[in-house]
Amino acid sequence: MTVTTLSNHVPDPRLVTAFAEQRDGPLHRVNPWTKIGIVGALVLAVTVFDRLALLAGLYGAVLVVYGLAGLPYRRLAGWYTLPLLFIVSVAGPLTFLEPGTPIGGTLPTPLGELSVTWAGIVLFAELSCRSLTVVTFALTASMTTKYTDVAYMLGRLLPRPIDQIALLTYRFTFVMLETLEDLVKAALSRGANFSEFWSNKRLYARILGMTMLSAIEQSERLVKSMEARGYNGDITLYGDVSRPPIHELFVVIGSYVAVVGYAAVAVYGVRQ
Amino acid sequence: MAHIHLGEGSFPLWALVLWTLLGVGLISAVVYRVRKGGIKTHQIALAGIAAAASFAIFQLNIPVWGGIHMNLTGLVGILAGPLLGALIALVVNIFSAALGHGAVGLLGANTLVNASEAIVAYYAFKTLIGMDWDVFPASASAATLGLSAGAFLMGAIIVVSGVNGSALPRGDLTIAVAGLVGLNLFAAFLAAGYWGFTVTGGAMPWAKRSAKALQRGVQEGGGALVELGRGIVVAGPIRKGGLMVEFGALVLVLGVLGIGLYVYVDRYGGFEDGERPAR
Repeated sequence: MTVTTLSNHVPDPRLVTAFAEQRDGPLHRVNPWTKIGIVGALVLAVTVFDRLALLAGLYGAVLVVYGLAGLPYRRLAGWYTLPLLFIVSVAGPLTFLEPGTPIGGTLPTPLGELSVTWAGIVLFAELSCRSLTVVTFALTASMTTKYTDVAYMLGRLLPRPIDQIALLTYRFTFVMLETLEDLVKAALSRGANFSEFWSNKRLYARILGMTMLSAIEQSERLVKSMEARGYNGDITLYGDVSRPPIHELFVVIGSYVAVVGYAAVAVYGVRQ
Repeated sequence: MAHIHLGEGSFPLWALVLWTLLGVGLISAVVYRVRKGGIKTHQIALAGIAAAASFAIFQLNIPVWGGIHMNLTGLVGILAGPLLGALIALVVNIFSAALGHGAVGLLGANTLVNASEAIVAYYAFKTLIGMDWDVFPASASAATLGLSAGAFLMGAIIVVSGVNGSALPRGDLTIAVAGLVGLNLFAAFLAAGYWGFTVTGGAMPWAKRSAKALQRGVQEGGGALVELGRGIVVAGPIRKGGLMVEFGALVLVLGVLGIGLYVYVDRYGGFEDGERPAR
């Protein structure tokens, strides 16, 4: 599979699917329902855990799991760009505004004194660990779950007609990416330069506009194809994802019990 | 497409539950209306492929401020209508979260924000076309308004929720978030407004086709959420009963639940005001 990168800080769905289809690590053999269960437990954990050490430990554990699955750390570092941008955009100002003991000196401004506080730094680190933990595991799950299994689970989890839209989206994401990439390649072969936006704004508009138009035309062709096959509101799914084996079920249930138990006792102070 | 610019775990648990419930409420109302009103094959196909295109376009890095990404939610909302636009917003958010962009726990909040962009863009476009505007200025202005509505809602969600672990009072948090909203608004006006006005004029070879598609989207795009000229209805053709009671009841229940949760946590969360989140 040749993948021309449109952006090096957004995961390419084709690359993600290639890892899922062509690799065979330990996590590839884990039941997809188990992975979804663990994602839920991690979301709950990063929401209720309140100590930096605990959050950092959880993040470290997820990073180890990512490596054990045979997935590339170098790519992961690039894919962290957007999540980190989100963290910086909110936690950045909070690092300065958070009340606490200032680190170093303070900078006088017309609105008051400005300083980075220890509490602000800790908050920044906590938010980073919370976010990157789930981002890493979501990518791990996506890169170790086969196309047919993802399609099956979309069909099972979402109500109609959302499942139909999601299945078509999943199928045609790859087609639309090819379309977009062809447009980019065509422009590059004619000597276009994508490194500067404002001097190439018409080119960008043409590419984005053509992609949307191509989508509309694809949808018109798809309607004919669907109706010719007697589409009645149901895209038949072939394949099956079995229930998770008992030992995986115990791991999922154990994760939830551990998170809820910790939250009840250590965070919310529930006592007998 | 504005996003909740917060990663996973940034909101406290009660806020996660609240926004998830509200998101589920909105999507449930839309699904209910779509099922009641019926959906045609071409609408399903358009929604699926428009979501795929939106997701694919997101992959393209636009070299402004080090690299930004667009989803064209406003245009998708105009094309597919507010009902399908809300469903597309959900689907795009699910796929984005699976690829580490956005957050799994904030799917409800993100869907509310993106659905609001699609819905506002659709009604703005419809209104401007009704006022005899040309298609391109109307679509650029409508997309700008949609993105602005999304940016404001995003800011409001963050301020109402608070940031997990932050001791910052709501007033100071509002100031911090105002900068973020301002940045989003600036991007919306710059991208959808200025760029839309300057480069998407009728001279483009695909312009006529786009104009037709946008206008057809308004006519066939899966029904309106609120049809002002025909009284308040929730989507699709007006049916017996109008389903307003069910929709109103759902909104009321979710609203009461949300306020109740907020009040409970605020009063009985186990923290004194001074020590609240400080660690």
